[in-house]
Amino acid sequence: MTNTPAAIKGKRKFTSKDTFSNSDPSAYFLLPFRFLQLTSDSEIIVNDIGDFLIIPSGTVQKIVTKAICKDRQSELYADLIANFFISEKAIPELVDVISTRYRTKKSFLDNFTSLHIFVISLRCEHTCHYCQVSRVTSDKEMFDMSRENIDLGIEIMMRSPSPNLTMEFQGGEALLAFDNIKYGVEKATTEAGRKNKSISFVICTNLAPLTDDILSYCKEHNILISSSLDGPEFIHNKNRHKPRANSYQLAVEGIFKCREVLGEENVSALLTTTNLSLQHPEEIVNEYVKLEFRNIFLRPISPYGFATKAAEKNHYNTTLFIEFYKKALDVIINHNLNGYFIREDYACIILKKILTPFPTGYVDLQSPAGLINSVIVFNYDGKIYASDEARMLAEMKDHTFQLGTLGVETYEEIFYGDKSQSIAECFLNESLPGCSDCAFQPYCGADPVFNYTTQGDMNGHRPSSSFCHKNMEIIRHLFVLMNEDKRIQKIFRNWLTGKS
Amino acid sequence: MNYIIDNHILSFQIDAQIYNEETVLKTLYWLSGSYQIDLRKPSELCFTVQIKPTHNEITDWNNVMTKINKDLIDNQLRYIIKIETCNIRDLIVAKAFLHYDLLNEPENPVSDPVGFDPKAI
Repeated sequence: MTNTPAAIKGKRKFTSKDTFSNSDPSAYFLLPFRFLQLTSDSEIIVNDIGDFLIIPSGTVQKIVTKAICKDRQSELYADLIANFFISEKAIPELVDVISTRYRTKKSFLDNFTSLHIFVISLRCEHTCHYCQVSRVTSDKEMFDMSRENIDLGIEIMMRSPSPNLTMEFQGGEALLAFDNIKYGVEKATTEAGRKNKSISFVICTNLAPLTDDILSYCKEHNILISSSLDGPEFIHNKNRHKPRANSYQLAVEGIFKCREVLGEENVSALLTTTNLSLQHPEEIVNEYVKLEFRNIFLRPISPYGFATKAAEKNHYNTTLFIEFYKKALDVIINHNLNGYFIREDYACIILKKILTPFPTGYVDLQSPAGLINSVIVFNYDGKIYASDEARMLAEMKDHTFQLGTLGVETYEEIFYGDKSQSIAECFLNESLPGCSDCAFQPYCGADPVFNYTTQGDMNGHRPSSSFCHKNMEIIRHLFVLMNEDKRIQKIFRNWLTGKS
Repeated sequence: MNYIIDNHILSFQIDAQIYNEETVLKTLYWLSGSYQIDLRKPSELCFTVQIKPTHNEITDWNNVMTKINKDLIDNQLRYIIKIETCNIRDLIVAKAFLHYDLLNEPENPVSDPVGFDPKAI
């Protein structure tokens, strides 16, 4: 018996505080987590549900060797308990909460494939040097999707377990086949009604062929418009060349028309970063602000199709893109600090994973990967691909990710067949070499198509992967920014809530 | 850790009684983008490693060794975490998907191999 005053008197009303105190550091259990060095003097620990702590260098070693004392380091100890990095019981009392949160992080899988991309035509009137797929041609027969294939694609789409479907029309320039878009929208709306599913429509367009009639139809059927804007006129026109026309002017006029008729929230623009863009981060962001955009997506160029042929314009070192990204992000943050709300979409995707319990719908940064699980592509010629990038790869005569052909393979053969299963073996970053131990794993994803295209292997090789390099550096940068400046952390949180 | 540089090849030994094979492999994996690596285990006591730059560029071997030493320790800590937490990780994932609804399988279209169409009735 200990020789405490209570023991001596034997009648103390309350047990002393020490009774509840765990002074024995070895009395806690580790819960699963990963770590890495964040800066020269700090490291970050992250668990499977995305909770994180930034701690001084050397702390992980103390945690793992059970050298954290509940009394002497009470604040750290409490943080470790509260964020599920350690537990005082072998099975934590809140294990069901951890499991539920894990399930929530993977809830993008619940309804399986929702995004169905219809490459309605491969024809295009632009000659963008980075284009992955398009053809300048008037041959409708050869490069437009047939009505029969539209029907078959809709039939497959309606078999999806998802109650919420998205039918996205891509090109080429999708509006060149607007009659087929109308046919598809009306057919899919009827079929979705029969199946009691909700369906939304997106048209990806350069806006050049936009007419008032097209806009009225989009308004009537709640069709969203996804467009492209590469920055100021001198960059946009250089990147997105349209013979005998000003592509920038057409895009900007189209964006304003769409905003007027459809509403600001129903039109978006995407940026593609070329070698020229890399030199002008400030001008690009300021152009988006000038045009009153509230978001900008700083996308690197995709290593597919024709983009791989114009090397001097489209090949750049990932390090250069990261420098560009950081500079552009600084400009965006400064606009926010000065009172103009504008968010960067790629940062938002990652921040949502870091700062909320929820997953994102962004198919290129998921584990299991978004291909097949979230997106499927029906090409203009009836071929079915695992993702948009997979069909771009097919334009390079590589059909590795072709899952079937409309009207030939069944739903089961397409989604659960041998090809899908072989891809599935490498679409979990939890089990990929280099990713399995990475602290940023819950915020990142797997991309077998990118790995295969750039490294010739669906699993990929992380030490030489530009996907890994880019995402590691961007995620690290976001953490450092948040940790160093609480104003930036507030801006990032506002980006997620949409509050300015 | 002592090391030798001979003809642009870095050679050193890793104590196998401190670091297990998984730790050593994970450490060397991250060098495999820039270097050719030769790993052997001549006895139960040690691993021998030879590293050569893929493109014969000049290498600051001190920096490489600093990284290897740090990564060995980090990966050994990761190994300890993995061993201690593998059961609870399995439990968390199993519980997460325990009640996963597998009933929403896509319905099959009605068909008949002899060409009879039940929908036509």
